[in-house]
Amino acid sequence: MACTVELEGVEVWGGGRRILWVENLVLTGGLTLVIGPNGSGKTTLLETIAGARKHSGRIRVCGTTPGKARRMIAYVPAQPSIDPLARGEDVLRAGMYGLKESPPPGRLRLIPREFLDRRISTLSSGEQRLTCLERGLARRPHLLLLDEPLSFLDIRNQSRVVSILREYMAETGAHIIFTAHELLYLPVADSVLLLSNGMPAYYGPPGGMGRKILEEAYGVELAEIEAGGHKFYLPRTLVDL
Amino acid sequence: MRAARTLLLISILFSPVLLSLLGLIVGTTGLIPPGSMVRLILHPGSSSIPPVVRGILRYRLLRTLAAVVVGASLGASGLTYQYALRNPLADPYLLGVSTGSAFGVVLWLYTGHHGGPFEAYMLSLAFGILSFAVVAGIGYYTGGSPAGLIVAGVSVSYTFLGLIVILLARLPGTGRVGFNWLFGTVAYPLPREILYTTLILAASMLGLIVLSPRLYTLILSDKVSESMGAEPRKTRIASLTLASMAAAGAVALSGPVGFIGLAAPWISRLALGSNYTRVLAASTALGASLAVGSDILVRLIAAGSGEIPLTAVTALYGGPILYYLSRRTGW
Repeated sequence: MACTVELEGVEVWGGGRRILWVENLVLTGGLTLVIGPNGSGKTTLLETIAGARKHSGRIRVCGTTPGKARRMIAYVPAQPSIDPLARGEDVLRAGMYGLKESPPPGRLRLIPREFLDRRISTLSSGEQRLTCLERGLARRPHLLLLDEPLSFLDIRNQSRVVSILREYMAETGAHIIFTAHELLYLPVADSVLLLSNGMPAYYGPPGGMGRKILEEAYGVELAEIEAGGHKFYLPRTLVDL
Repeated sequence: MRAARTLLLISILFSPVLLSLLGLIVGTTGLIPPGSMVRLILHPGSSSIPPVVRGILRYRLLRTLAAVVVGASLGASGLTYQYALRNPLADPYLLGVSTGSAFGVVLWLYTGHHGGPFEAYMLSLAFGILSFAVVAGIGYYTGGSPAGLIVAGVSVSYTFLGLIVILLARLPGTGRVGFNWLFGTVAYPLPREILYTTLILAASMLGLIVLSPRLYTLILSDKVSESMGAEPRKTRIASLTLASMAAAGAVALSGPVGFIGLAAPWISRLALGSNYTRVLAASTALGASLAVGSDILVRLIAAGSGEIPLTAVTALYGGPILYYLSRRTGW
């Protein structure tokens, strides 16, 4: 059973302006990709669902309030900002707060066992990213919230992470919501949420979203490329170089 | 790797015991050969021991206990500061405790040693905690972020420092006790002070152990900690309050001893990782060992020439050690 996220009249304010405003939205499950220009509210949306942000309105996560759903949620922010002296093992252990189980798990999906013993400051930014994602998976969440999980990763690791997330979903039926700047990942997702100025501009299957909606949200002309039956988008200026 | 680390943890935990025994044997007087001190410790009931020797042993015991509890408090406190402020260079004096305490003692000196040394202890303790309370208050209402707290700590410290300098400048002569106290010493401990500081440390450690699962989440970002329900803002203030109480207890007993509160946590974390409860035990023990060890050095250096402050010794070996550790950490 998928963990749905329902938002009703949700508003988040910061620095004297409204940074998120969602009147009515139900994220049903599967792999949900959140896209939108810088400052469109992607991170704020994830933090709000994670219960780490003050908001008005009503949110239901996995059929309950975000406060009660904490044990079912794992949140991995875009900036790891981990204490430099912490080791991989500490990251996984500290990430189990509020749960009865204790890591390190028998099975590591993303990082080699050797990382458990290394200080986080000795890992590259991509390796730190993988360690943080491993922490998220270690909670065995019903809802996994990932802010830019694929940034800092090389292309091999990007595709590895995507298939491991798919594998985890298939095993557990979890709902994964992740943000990205690359429109390249659109076909990977089951559904796409496009945010623009803090409001949803589109929510639905990736195929249903035309080029026009994207161009309007990002304010840039896009070129369409077809491969493997999917449409990929690139800024026209990059193609016309 | 894991077995080696456990062995290291065990040796760190036992080191204060061994150093304390050494602390009973080594002293400033050349009167008693170490061998007879050992015999005395092994057979304390023997009636053939002259009262002078008993007196010296009692003094060394007090002095060693004072060093143990001061070092342990600084080790526990410094470690907690480093977690709560997410800063490996944080030490227990960063948020105003030491300058507040020092102000209390200088005030006591200024008012003509009113009421004796135990009153100095209480004044120092009170002003240390008061000073932190002001810092925590400012820090909490400006958002409770580590940076906000550190800025508040620096500001309040400077204010107290200004007052200390004014009072000291108007004092006819601060005397040797005042000088030693300002740089930390365990040469003048009262049994009551040792007891109080030990009780404060015990209470603080108990609280920290209760908070430890929440405190551990602070090594991740605040947002992550909050998403798991660990209430990072409250956890930060609560743990810093407990740690500051321990630091104030140490400073009231010995004055502000430098380096230990920074190095004990750092060495422990480099050697053992960052599992908070595990490193808390190690840092507390290592703090005690560093303090007792340094005090033994102080006694050897001071033999026959009067007391010197503890910080004189800790600073001398502390500088190179910190430099070496920072190179090893990769900074």
